[in-house]
Amino acid sequence: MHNHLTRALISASVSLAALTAQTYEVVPAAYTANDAISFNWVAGASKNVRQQTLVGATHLSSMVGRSIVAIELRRSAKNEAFAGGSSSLDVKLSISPNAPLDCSSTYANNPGPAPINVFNGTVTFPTSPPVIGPSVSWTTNNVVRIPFTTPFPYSGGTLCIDVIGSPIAGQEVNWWMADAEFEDLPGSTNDLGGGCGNYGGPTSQWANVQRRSLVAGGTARMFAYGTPNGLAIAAIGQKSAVGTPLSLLGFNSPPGCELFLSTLDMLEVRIFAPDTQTPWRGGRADVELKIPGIAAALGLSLTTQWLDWTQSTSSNAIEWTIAPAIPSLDMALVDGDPQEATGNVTVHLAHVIRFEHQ
Amino acid sequence: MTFQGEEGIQAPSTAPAGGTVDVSVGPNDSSVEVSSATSDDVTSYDVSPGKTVTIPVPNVPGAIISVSVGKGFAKRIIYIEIVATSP
Repeated sequence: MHNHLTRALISASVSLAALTAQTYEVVPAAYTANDAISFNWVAGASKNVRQQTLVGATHLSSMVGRSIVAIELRRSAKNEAFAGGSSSLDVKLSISPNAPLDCSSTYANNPGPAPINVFNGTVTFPTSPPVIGPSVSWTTNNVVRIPFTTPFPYSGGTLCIDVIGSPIAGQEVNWWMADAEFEDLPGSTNDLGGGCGNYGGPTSQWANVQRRSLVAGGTARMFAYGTPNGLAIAAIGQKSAVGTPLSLLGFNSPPGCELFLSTLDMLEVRIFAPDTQTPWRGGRADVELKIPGIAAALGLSLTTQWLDWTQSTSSNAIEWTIAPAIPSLDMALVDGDPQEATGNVTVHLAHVIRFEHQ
Repeated sequence: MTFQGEEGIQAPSTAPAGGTVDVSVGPNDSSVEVSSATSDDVTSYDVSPGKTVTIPVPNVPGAIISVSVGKGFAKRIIYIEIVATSP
């Protein structure tokens, strides 16, 4: 009887321990032990940064019904020591209404309706000796650990990790790069010419399209430099093989200004925002277009050409094409400044994260 | 050689005239924008998975290169001085 009771108590204790045992989940799981191909900075290490990470449910099935009690970021493998320090972090978790491929560049659109403030305080960046890789251990010297003061119960869905970080004076961490996965799925661009005017150097190439932003589910980013505080018009449509002089369209434009569009599908009006840091470059105007994460977007081609209204000049026209595959990472990262309403979205690049849960 | 990195962009503070300089990018920006410190000629370089971009250095000793990522409050910028190489 006594032995039977003892065995029952031992069995109950083991079961209770198993239920509350801390376990770990690394996302993406392929990098549990080994370094991923890329790296990304950590919010608050050296600058005020806001980073939102969306983690798709496919990564978190083992955590359904459990509570997340900490997250960790591991240093990137490199034959370089990372000097340590501290930063101030505010971390909120929620279940996002957006899957990673639907991630918004607007911070306010990604968290769920009731974010839980799981941490607000100081985080240590350890001084980390060089790690050549490919394996990188989750030891204290290699990890930035955020232990939650309030556990987050996870019941499924896309997890939104919203971090606002600020450096601490005298404890700044100037270069501590956390491991990150990077799916190499660039789109393509083709400069058609047609630029003229006072910006872009001797070839008047004052417009750009970021080809690695041309990913289904991502946000196509295009920008141009021009007359500060002047009107910037981005015309988007199908390309024309032959340029049409702007002067023939009624513009008082100098020679060399040619339009390389055969259709006008979209017009985006901006202002060339003046830049006090690099005034010699001119003002800068940006257009960001959300690309649906659907098969129909793959290989889609359009052309963008800007008009500097003040000068009546055209930028170089750039034909751009969406990458031929949809990212399979099932994560997204929005990275930027907390003072801005929007950040830079990548659905092909995100931190490797270890979750501690019970 | 000293390295600067607090802006989220890591690079040496000097670079050899006519050579190249490697710039590592901490944020998730897809391109870096490079220009001489007084020029409106801005060249955009693609950021590959390794996050290190090799940038050609003009053969103009004493000039300054500005290297930036991002825009607005999220813009990060460093400056690299071009130095003459030994004969």
